[in-house]
Amino acid sequence: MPILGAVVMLSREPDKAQRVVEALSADPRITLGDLFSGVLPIALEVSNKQDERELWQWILDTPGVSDLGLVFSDFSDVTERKDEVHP
Amino acid sequence: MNRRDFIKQTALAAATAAAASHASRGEAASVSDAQVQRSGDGVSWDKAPCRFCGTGCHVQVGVREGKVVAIAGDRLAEVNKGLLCVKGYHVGLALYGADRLTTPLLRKGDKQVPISWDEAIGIISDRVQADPAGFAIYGSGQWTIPEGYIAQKFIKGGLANNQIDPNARLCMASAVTGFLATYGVDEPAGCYDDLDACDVLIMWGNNPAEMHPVLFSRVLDRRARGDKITIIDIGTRQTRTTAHADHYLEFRPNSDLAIANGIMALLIANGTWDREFVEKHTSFRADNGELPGKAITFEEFKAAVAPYTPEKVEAISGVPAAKIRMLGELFGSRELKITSLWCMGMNQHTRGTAINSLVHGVHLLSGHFGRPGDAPTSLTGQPSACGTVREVGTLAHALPGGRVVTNEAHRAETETLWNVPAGRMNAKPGYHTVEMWKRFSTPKKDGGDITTIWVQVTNPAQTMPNSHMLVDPSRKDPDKFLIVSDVYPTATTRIADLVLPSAMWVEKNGMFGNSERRTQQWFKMVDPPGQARDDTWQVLAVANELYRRGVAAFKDKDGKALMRVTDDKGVEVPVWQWDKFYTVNVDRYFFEEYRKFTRLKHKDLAPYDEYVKARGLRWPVVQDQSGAWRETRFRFAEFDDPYVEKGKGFDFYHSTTKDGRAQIWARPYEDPPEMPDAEYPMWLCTGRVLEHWHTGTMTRRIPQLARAMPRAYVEMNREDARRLGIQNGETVLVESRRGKIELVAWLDGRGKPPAGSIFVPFFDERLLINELTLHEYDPYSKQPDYKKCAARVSKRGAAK
Repeated sequence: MPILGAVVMLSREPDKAQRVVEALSADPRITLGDLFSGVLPIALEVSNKQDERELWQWILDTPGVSDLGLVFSDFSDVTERKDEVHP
Repeated sequence: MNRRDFIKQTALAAATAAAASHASRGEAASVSDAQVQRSGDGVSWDKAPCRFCGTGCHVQVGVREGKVVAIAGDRLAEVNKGLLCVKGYHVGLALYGADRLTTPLLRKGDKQVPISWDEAIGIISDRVQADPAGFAIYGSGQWTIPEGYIAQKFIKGGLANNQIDPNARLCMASAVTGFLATYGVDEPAGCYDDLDACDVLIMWGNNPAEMHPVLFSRVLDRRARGDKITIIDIGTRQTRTTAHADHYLEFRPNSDLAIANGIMALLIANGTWDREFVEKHTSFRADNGELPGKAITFEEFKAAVAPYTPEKVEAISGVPAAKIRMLGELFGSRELKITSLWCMGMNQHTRGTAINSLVHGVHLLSGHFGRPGDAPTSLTGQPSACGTVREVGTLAHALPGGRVVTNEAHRAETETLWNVPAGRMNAKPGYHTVEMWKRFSTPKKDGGDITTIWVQVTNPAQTMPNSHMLVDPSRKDPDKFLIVSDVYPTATTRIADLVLPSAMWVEKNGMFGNSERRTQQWFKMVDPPGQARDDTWQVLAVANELYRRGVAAFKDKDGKALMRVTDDKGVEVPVWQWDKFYTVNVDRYFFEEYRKFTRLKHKDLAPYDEYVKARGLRWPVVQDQSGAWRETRFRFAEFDDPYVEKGKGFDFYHSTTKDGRAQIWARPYEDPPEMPDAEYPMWLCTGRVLEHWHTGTMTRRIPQLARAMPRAYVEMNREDARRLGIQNGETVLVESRRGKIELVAWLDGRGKPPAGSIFVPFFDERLLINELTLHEYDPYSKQPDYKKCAARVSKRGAAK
């Protein structure tokens, strides 16, 4: 169950930017933070890595999104190691 | 609040801090640290530079119960301002692949069997004593600075055979010779701040959207905020970078030299060169077979570039004459600020030194130099190619701090600083990488005088060009012995005689030096698995064993151990005993010793403890009048470089002509050593992909990245595929004169090579494209050309 923090760079066109905010806020996997001059902080909570990739791409492809940057990743529940494995 | 809510809140707080920082253009963010709840839940956080590329992003590493459990971009880091790329945010998982090496392994027959560390150290010491002249270390731009320094001291201060070279020879050696030929001293004058100030960004055979994505995002970020930036991609295939470019100039492989010459010819023909800057601060130079070259006059230079008219450049390169004129006009516009970026495209080039110095020349001739945003800047692929290789000098001809073994005074200074007997050091350079491996793969009776290679932090069986010639024969020769220190099984550990399990990244203390002269430090945060140990410890343990055996080379001139470490009171600490290794800070000890070397070439480093406090500092780092340590963003320019006298404007104080001038080179276009022909009609280019870092040793063990890019492929142009009857996804045979490989064809994929060319990434150890590449190298840098050789593609079963 990965949890990510990210920043969305929005279009300078206010209408497009507003539509992005509306689209993202409608998705229950996304929590929006306060907008800073065209840069929107978000947290993503997804069920698996496949879901994460698809959601990430969907955000990137949303008209009005100019870039998307990852700033935080928690993977505490996906770290596993089998010790003492030799070639 | 449950744990998931807590983590989500932490994620949002980190994003908010980064958003505030970006919105304020990197100035002090309005979000306080208190809002970024980076504590609680048993997770402790500390800083470290990312383990992967040369960008030098800082991450915050979250550790709970002895494991790395979370990664956050470090918003206090100027390089990345909180952002990370897809590799960076998975970097913590690189520690936890299922097959970490955890015990030393010795080859016995067809098997590698576990042995003790004592036995392993003894075997290495035996190999050193059996043939000290033939013992070599092959290292890496992923060595930390102290690791590289210690290996350097072992070989050059101990064995004194100079047989040490790094994999960085394969990735940035031509950048080094380009800087040396132009400025007399290595590494960029500018820094990443140029990306925040430039009006025009030109990528020369460079794909930062995939290879240095955080840097590229700084530019896209400016665009998103309304800054007008013209992005020009000069490349041999379309990439993700091309998608963001205003202009894409597709050139034929090797013809970048013609383009650079064409720009200079236009600057002169149009009268738009910067006469004042050129007359005050530059001289002209031409090839004579030696790196410093020979002096020529402006008139001779003008005559050398004059033939490169836009039409002639179009004929050579395929770039339309109008686009060449556009470049000439841009460089002729003094009001614009222009930054050039390059990486492997210009460096992995049999004319690598030439094209590097030509691009510097374009900037110098046009005066686009020395203002923020006006800079020719090379990028590096490894996290400490600059810090460890170029600055510590872990190259076969180099000594720490920009010194060289052929210079008597440099050797004498080094002998004094290492306290070794005068005259111990060897004036003859060791073998560069290709020559080292060639001699390792040649029987001793036929001149193959390298008998043992100790590889650390790199994977040459996957990265050496023409590996059938340079690597494979050694594995059939019982006189040759291969030692490999690594963290995972690799193509190289599998063929090794002795495998040593290493600690990686935050399992040890470390320091890196990134592409913009920024030296970075981190502390060990978690224990390595099993018996894995620091590379530093491994070398110190062998050095101590040789000292214990009475080998004179490992004694200093007072008879004490060459690699001894003392505590703050001067008492020797037996750090070769693993349980004592972390009772002192070995990194700090050797960094302070190394720091004394850094002033000669004005690459001054601050004390270790200053780096503990900072997210890196760019050298030269000098103390101001208050005693505070101050970094330097722009070298050679009076407004920022403390070593430029007031009133001079610019001073290239390590000028090869010893007059404070940089050199503008005349370097003609020449055909490459191998070109497509009737038998092998296509250009083969190799390189990297976004998801994987270099040979994939780490990233292929991160499931998310491995799934996203599971295997290597061959990118083809649709026209070529149609002509050859090849479908998208079909397995095809790719052949060169040196080898062959079956790969899946990808048409209209991420990259788009033009007709007549193909691209294959080198990350996949199951599909070794370097069995096909060419081992020809640049005459000055000795860097091989991985970007072009002749190849052919056929349907499987239809090969000639």
